[in-house]
Amino acid sequence: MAGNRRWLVLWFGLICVSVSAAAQPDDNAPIPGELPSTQTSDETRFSLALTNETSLVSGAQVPLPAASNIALLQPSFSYKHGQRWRFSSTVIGEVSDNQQADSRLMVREAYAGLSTGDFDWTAGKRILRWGTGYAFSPTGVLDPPRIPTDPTDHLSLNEGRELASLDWTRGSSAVTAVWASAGLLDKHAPGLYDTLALRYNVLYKGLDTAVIFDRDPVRPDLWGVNFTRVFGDGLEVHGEFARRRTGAALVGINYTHSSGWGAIAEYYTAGAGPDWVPAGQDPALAPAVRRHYYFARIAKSRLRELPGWKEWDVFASVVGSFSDQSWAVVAEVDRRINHHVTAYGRALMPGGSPRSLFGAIPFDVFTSLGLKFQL
Amino acid sequence: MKRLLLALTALSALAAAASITNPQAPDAAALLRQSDGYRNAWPSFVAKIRISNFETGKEDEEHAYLVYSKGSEKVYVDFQSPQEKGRHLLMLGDDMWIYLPDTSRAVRITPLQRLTGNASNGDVARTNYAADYTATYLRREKVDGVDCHVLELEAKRKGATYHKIDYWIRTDTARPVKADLFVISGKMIKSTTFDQYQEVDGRTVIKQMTIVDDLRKNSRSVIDYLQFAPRDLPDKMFHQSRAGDL
Repeated sequence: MAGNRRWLVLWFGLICVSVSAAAQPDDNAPIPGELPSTQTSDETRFSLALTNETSLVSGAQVPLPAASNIALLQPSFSYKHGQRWRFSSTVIGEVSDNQQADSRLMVREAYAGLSTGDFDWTAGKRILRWGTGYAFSPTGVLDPPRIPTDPTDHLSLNEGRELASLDWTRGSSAVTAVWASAGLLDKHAPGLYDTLALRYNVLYKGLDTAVIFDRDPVRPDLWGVNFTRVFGDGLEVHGEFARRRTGAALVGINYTHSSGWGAIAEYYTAGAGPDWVPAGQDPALAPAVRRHYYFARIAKSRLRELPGWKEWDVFASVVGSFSDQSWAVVAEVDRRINHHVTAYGRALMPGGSPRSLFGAIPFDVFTSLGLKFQL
Repeated sequence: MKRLLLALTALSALAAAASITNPQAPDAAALLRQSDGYRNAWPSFVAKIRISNFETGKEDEEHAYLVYSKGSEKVYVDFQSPQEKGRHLLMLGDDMWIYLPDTSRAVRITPLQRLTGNASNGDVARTNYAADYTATYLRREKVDGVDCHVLELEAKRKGATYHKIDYWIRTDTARPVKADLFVISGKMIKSTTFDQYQEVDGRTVIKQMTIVDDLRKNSRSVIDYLQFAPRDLPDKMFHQSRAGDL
């Protein structure tokens, strides 16, 4: 009872903040004060996000609370000294009662960088994204793990890897060398290993392509290549191919119409065994046969065509396995309230046999209602 | 000798005929380069802009951007509004990417796709028309009492935002006055007016322009150029794998 009261107070507070922000005249979009620094001066940026999300479970097949709440406070800070030094950090304060009332503090990113001519040095905890896939990414060897039912990480809970990296950039080419720890400060997650990774990225006649190498002490070396290419006014084609003991491949398209409609479709296949188990999942549970997946997403930003709906964004996606005929549908609507506040609702509905990949998700519908305040 | 005289006479007649047909046809390409200078006054610079969208005369929303530009091939746009923080857009030659903090990767996009309101990505990132279009001189005409050259611009590269632009520029200064924007089907989709100019570091540069949707006439986007400043920008700021790091 006391817990419920606490969440009611939090929701009430967020709604008050939103209403207060909405009451401000909307003709004063925040504009940065001065233009960015010259070569020798400093530049500091700060932003803050406060999110509260309530989730409702229906048709639970295991003991789960019918309702739960998560509140997140995510301040970000970055500092740049001229063109040479920079520091960036984002931390996450979380209070949730998903299993039992709990609170924790996470460091999403905290890294320092130094630029010397064509070279850039970075050390700290940082999110790197090397893959070109949307819902799957076999060449994203250091990327945060993709969750196909939430590839956008809507609560921004993904954390970076503790790493040291060196980038060399010249013309349209860039070479990156990274050593990433399985966890110096953080606890070791299953499927996460100390990793040496190299990437060569080049843009050649509109083809943005990268060759990637990855070595860790547990699995065979990975060699991979990925690409993106744009055709016409709205079609992007992307793909990834990688090999360890077995191979994995992804091909996809992303089409965006000038009216704001967009569609993504992907096909992904990964070999049997633990090579392609995403970090964070137990490799011992790896499937014994090759898997085939599909992903499709359709979205419309700003329903300007409908009177009174221009503040609304909608999307729906489906991810499924050809191998076991299971699937999961996600639908979301977002409503921009003003420059600072967005409300959203999303629903996840899995389907398939109870022993299939998505059918094993132990509920019928998982509905989330959230409010996000950004400064 | 007779043949030479005949040839010279014929050439003179041709030249005279040409000058009668188009007595003072200005150099369209030179005019276009000159007019580009009002939006690209320095080889490398930063501009702070605000885009305000209006629906049926009422302000609907506003967005702020920092635009880093180097030459005609490299533009980096940093989104500044609270809901768009962390987003940035990179234009590199014919290619364009948008980096969204909530997606798993950088997304390849095209200049014609909507940035906000009636403004396309290319309306902010591809403002160097001489690099993207071939200009043909059409005629002279008055727009609201101002004497203008009318140029027809045809896209000459894949990365150009529009297929064709009809472009009015002042005869005395080559300042852009207005533009009609066409897509490949031949349909006019938007029109732009270049409303105000300002003096920055002794140069005249754009201060405000308005984009009107030709299909939804009651919808317009106003782009205010709040500040310009020449800056020495490093090349690697514009690399597709490094954008956003710097």
